[in-house]
Amino acid sequence: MQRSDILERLGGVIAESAAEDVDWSVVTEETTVESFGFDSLSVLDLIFDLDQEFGTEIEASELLKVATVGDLITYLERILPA
Amino acid sequence: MSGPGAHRDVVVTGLGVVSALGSGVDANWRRLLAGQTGLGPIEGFDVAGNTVTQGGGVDMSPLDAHQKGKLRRADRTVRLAVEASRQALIDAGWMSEDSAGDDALVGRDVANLWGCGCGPCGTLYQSNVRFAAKGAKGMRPSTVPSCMANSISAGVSIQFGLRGTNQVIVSACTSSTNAIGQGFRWIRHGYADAVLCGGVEAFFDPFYYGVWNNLGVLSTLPDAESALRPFDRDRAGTLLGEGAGALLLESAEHAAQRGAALRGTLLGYGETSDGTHLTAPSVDGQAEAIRRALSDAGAAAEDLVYINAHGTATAANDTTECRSIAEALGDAGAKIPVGASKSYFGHTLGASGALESIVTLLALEHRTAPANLNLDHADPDCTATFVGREPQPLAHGLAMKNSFGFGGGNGVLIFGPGRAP
Repeated sequence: MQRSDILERLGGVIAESAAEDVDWSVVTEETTVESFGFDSLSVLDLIFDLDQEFGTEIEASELLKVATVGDLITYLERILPA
Repeated sequence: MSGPGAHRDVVVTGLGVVSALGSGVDANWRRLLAGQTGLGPIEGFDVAGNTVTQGGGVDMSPLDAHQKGKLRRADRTVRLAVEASRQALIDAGWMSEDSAGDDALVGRDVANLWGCGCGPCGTLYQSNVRFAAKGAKGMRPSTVPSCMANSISAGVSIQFGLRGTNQVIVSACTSSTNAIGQGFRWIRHGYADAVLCGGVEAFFDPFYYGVWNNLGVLSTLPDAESALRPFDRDRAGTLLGEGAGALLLESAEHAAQRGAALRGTLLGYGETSDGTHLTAPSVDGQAEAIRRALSDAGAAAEDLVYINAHGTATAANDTTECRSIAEALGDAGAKIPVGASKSYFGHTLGASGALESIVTLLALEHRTAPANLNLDHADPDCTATFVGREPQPLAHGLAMKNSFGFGGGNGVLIFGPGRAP
């Protein structure tokens, strides 16, 4: 899967659980995940929704290391099912 | 705060409404005075298969200007309660019109106490749809907190930073009258200086609306404007509605210290349970709740100038309620104009006590009772003096609000007019 494909699919997932309204058209790989305003509960929904969307099994401790959207894409590329 | 054991006067300093009549106290009052119902075809989900497809749905679009992000995606009950609360806090002068809810004046010790009969039904329904499709593995982690009935009061508390207790009372159609009554007692007896009380209901989804449809209490009359006919000889049942009403209660001393204008006073509260049947009402239980409310207010039937009835337009309610009023108030009760508001809003279940308490307060403020829509020929079994088909001037005095719910719960509030600061 191309990074650009992952970026596009992330838009719908993040919009479902972010605290703020997200204009995905201005989001780049440099955008920080912190800017979406997740908290301790909504990040659980984010992990759940990502696993549903990509068929992954995300480790919460690994997600905590992610700073930018680009980092998240890189992490997803690593754990995406073959 | 003067502490437990006190006996303090309680005033109403802020009101907020979102209903089938629109958003805002003034918009609602204009339509009440104009005799315009909010009832019409139900939209927002497929009503096919239901016998009755009319009700009092709420247009949520005016809320979008004030609600973003996570709040806009919250359950309708939370969104409605937050909007009614926002209006009430602004009306009370505790928050500015353009505030995000973090004004310095928003009190840290303000409690918020809500009534809701059914809880966050839309979220419950959507969760069950996901469960049916995917099983437990399809359920998001936030399903638990977003399906709690107290997600409503928690949502209000979080939105406005209210640090007093937050709770939801669940007692069917008496829910928000119980909430207002309980908040009144907290203030009167010194447990709180200010309580944001309210009622909310939003249950227009295929499951919850459908089971109400099957209960057989909904009017099958075809014209929405005339289908809900409280106390009328030709009534055919009720119609359902969604909405929220919020009332900011304060101790009179607390309101005076900050120079607040008064929307009214809350003088007494009475509550009972029938202890007889899950759905059939009881004259004994209702009449006793009325007597307790009047006694609590230190008032007599002769002091009342208006009764806002529960008035569901079901045969069981209307005849029982009229007998209860007669039983509790005697000859004096027969002269007090009785109005019913459900022909405007629909029966909003747990929200009805709050919405109709606001109508009661506005009726005292404007010395005018809204017309009884569709009351063309009073049921001969309903012996009372009813407000007519036009708004009726009221004398200066007190007003009573009745709420009688499934489960046999009865709640009655006694309101008085407000005074200038």
